[in-house]
Amino acid sequence: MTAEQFKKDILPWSRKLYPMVKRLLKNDVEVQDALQDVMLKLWNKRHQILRHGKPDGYVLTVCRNHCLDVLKKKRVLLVEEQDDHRIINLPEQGATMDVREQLMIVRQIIDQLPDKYREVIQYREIDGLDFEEIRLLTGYEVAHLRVLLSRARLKVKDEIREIYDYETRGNQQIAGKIL
Amino acid sequence: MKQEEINKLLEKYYSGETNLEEEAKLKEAVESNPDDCRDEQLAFGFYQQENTVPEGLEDQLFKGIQDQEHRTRFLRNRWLKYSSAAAAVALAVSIFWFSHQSPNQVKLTKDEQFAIMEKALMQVSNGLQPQDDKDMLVLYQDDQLEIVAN
Repeated sequence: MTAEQFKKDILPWSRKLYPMVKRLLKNDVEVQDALQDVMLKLWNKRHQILRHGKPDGYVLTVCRNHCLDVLKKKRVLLVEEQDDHRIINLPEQGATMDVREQLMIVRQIIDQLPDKYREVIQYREIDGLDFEEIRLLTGYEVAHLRVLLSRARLKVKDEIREIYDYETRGNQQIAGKIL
Repeated sequence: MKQEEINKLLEKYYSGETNLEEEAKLKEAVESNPDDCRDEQLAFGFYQQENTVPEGLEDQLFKGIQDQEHRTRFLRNRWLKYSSAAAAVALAVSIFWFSHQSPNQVKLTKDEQFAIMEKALMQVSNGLQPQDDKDMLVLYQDDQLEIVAN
């Protein structure tokens, strides 16, 4: 595999892998280093990658295994707080207080989903993986993945609706009392 | 995209039946009609926020690969340079040694070699013998037996 081929076929995976690595390591600082190591591993094995008909599974497995190694070597502290902190600091990117609150609420909803639902919805909605790629990572059959994804999406929608309906009702009650 | 079309796509989306392309279209449509799909707009906003990737990520990673390649090549070249130099020095020393030693060497016959070796072994043997104890009193001595007292 030439450098040009690598740039064309493998390097774009970094954009797909970035959110996954960030989620697994739960540490912004280490994400780029880990991703660099993953890309170096793939570069050093670029001739083997050619032998795989579809390198997707190979790339995903190398990435996930590397992240697990990193986690084993260094128990990463913390987590959600850091993510929340990142969202809180969004105004630098032009987000309003309302938007930040909304993002944090959706994060909490996703975090509270059952493991299977959370895993599948993150792979699909955040990482943009197709069903075959998710199957390689989770081991679930595609039909089962569709069911899990459907339930997870509905659950997220219901939770959002419940929170915002509640907030609207609360605001109406407060307005009613004031009037 | 019309609202009716969006609703159809949403139905498919919540059944887990949409493909990635349809989902991209749906997300785009929801973004441009936030008031009609408030729940989805919030969820999709979060997903988009989460998959934000730093600018120039691919270029940075490829630069990292190139840097490592240069380092490896540099180390390989340096190792090659040093080992070549060491081999050249060893070769020069060998040539010098053999060219200076061979003409002066005296070729010994087998008997002479044996005599020299015997002499050397005798010296070793003598060196290993215990020293005579001057205070030792010999009580009895013949060809096969020696009795001494200190």
